[in-house]
Amino acid sequence: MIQDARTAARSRRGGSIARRASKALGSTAGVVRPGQSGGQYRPLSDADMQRIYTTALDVLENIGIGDPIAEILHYALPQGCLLGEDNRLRFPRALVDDLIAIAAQEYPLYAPDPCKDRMVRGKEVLFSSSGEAVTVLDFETQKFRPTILTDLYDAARLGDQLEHIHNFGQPFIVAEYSHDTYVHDMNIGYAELAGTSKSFALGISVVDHIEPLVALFDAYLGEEGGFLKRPFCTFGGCPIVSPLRFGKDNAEVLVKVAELGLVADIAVAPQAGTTSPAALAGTLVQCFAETLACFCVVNLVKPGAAINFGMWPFISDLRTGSFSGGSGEAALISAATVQLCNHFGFISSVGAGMTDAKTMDVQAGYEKAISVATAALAGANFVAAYPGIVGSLMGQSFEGMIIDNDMIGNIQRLLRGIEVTDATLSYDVIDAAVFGNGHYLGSEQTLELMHSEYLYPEIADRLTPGAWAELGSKTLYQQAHERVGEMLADYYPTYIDREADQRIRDRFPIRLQPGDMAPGNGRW
Amino acid sequence: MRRGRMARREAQAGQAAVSPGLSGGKYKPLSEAEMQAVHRTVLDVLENIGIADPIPIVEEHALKKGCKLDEHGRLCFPRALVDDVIAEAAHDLTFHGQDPKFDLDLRQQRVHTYGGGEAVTILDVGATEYRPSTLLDIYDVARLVDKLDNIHAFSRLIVATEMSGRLATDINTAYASVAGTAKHVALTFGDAKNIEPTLEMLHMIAGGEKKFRERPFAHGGGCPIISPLRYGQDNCEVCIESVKFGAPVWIVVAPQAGATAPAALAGALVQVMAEALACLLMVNLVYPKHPVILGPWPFVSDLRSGSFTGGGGEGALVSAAAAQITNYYGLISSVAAGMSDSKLPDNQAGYEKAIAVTLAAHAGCNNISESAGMMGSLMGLSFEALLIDNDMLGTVLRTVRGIEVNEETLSYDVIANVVRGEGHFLREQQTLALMRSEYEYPQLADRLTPGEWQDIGSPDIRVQAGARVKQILSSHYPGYIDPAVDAKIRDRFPIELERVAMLAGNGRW
Repeated sequence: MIQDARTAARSRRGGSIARRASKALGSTAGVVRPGQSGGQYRPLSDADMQRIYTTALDVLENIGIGDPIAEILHYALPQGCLLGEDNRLRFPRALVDDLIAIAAQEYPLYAPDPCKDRMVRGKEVLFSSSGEAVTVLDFETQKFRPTILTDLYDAARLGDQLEHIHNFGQPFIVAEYSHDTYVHDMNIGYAELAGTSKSFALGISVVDHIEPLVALFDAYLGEEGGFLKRPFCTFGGCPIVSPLRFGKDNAEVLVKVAELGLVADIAVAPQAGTTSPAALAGTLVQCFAETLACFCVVNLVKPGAAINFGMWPFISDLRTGSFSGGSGEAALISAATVQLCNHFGFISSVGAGMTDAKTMDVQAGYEKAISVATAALAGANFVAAYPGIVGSLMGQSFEGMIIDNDMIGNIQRLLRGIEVTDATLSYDVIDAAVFGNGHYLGSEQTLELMHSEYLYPEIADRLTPGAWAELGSKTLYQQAHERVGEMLADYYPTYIDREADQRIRDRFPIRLQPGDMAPGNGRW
Repeated sequence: MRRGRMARREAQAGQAAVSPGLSGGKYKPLSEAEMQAVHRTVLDVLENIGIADPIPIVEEHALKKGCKLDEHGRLCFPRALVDDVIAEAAHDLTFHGQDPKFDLDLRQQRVHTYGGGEAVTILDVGATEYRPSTLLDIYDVARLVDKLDNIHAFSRLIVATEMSGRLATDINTAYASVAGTAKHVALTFGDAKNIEPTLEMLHMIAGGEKKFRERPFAHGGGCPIISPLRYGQDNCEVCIESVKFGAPVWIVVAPQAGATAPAALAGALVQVMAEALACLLMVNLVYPKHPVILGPWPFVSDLRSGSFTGGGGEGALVSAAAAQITNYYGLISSVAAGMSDSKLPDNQAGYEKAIAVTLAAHAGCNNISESAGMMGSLMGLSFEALLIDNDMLGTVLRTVRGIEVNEETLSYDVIANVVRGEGHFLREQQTLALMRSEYEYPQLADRLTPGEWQDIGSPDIRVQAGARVKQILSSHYPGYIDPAVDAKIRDRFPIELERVAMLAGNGRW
């Protein structure tokens, strides 16, 4: 009651405090920002998380991980892991506990443009693109066509302009060069560097391509060893073949990345009902065990090294056995992995937005929104939100990237939450409206908060029905298509200057032609 | 080959993966301290600013219980009284269906989803232009909702715009609703005087007043506040009179942040909670403990135009917070979620609706209204959207159900067997056993391969939804009203829904 009285007294003390405070609110730069904190959504109880963890340790200790590569054995056996006659590597729980105790809790995520550097820590959320699609959905024909190198460059240029995509993960494989992985990997590195100054990521599965890529980035910087000082690109892949086996190629990359002192960006994706148990809790156990194994490898190579603890449990549609990315089960279990990471002190990364819809229709909208919202509110450090991906990760839509950027904006607003202070509780403002002109439309608070409390979407429609009909009754997909053309027609950043470009082209088989990287190329 | 396996698996139907009344509450937009700060300010508002224009019966009861009229004639509520009424209010209630299989148990953080609304236009299947909605549409939409599992109750989503008289409109709206669905029905009224005749009709349908009162399959309510902080006479009278249903009274208040509520979201929350509690007080001071569904619906303005925007993140966030606070009071919560600004069932409609519904559900809202079918910032209804949203709700509800963690589901033995055995889980007994109970399968949502989808002409989901709407509406003509009773009702009341329109083959679908 005393507190009540105090608050009441405070709130009646005239408008000046409120005015000052709301001015402060009004000065906030931008309505939302990268790295807002999640964690407001907690799908699992603490007791449930403990049971999942304990069972995952049982799995690592007793069942272990099959097919360990020589490089892993080299680090693991001297430190207490056991190799069975079944060629499975077992991790004693005491060792796992010790490694968890030294887990990196944060790291700086560098970008080519230092203004875009971010810290990865706590429950702070960044939205990222990601993917392994091999096709692009053509707007006009509504058919999927194979990806070409310019698609990746264009996607990077588009991602560079989209406010709510904070980290540009490679959204698809370039089918055009899939037969020559060296050319492919050097060119995806070049295309992303050329298209965006945000931090970016590459999916690399050939260990021998890591050092050339590092050299390519050094050539860009004009300084040998420069990249490793400020690594603005992360390398990663899926080092596990579920259930519970190492995959040779990606495991090699994992070890190499750790040896170089880079952040390992992994995704462990067992599929419930096919490569992991149909019981969601069982899939969590297995996915946790598999990811812990990768985490242990990294920390055995380099104690305390940072790793994105990427538990990406996938879901099967059990009627067909196929992957279903848009299901409620997928959203739920992914959010649960994030909560587990936050609880046990790992840096979390999770896939979301993996709709089963083939086009950017209403199904794509709701499926993506549910999983991205739950992952973000669970507090994922990286929500790999798959902007623009459709068809259960099979195809990329440029229009979809723009649409999903607006969707992520809405979710960013959720993360920011509601500030509750004497000023925002607005007692004086309510009092003034009730005894004044009876509404809030022109009030000082309203004007001040217009651009700090409220986020306005880029393309989502808020017209009146009449105005909307006059403009041609367009769907959001149609609006987005027009916007893609506008955004890509003349936005050709020169992040790689001429000299650096020459240094790179002298040493690497760059297939992206200068003519492809300037207006008038006929693509847009 | 694949068909055979699918068919065999389909046959092993078990318990459904989602159901009405799953427990939410795992999303907490506000901390306990923040909720208390909001509550303290709500009490300040009710005590010191009060509510203007109480109707006489409310004023009389309120003054007797210690409320005061200030010098402006505003009814001010002592904070202790507010806390007492909250503490004594009904903390659980039942929505009965005409068919008991649709009964809903509302309490704690149990989540239910349904439509609701007052749109005046409707989007026909495949159309891009809206037309005025009619009584027949109310009936058709009720029939459609009757067949959609994740829409748990019915509230007319559209208005019979062709009707003029208030009494005829209210009676016919009620008739069209209960003729079309056996789910619980929410009714609103243009005039409190229309409640008695409507109840008379409902009693006839139930087989007598006693039978209706045993299982009241409809309830009444309205929006008794004109924001900011003023009672609206007509709807106050409707809400008080709705007690005669012998069912919960649903009250909704919808101040609009930046226009009729503060632009600061916390301030909008304070005002909407104060207004909603003022309605609870109104009903419970006159009829102590009568069950009330508390609907604080904080709406949001697009401040660039001043118009209502239903699809932004702000609306989703502040609505979830309103549900959280209502649950915190131990009251039965209702918020609106799913009010997309998009005019067509397109991607924007999908994500705007999904975000809002997901938040409200995880906040533990007992009654998520507006969550299916509504388009264009509540201006219109789309038939296809109703079906699509039913799938969306199923997906959201699956996330609400959560993950059961126990010895069996942790699956250590299953994992060990598979690793030592054939290396995959598809044929495991656990997989077969959980196929139906652990996984929710959408009715419409596309899960084809890209190739299969291209082969059938690359359809937008709206195409499939339209076909299914026609299929349901051309065949589902339920006979919920006994023909003999129906004849009596038509003798007694001006029912404008023609019998022939309520039979298959009427040419409408």
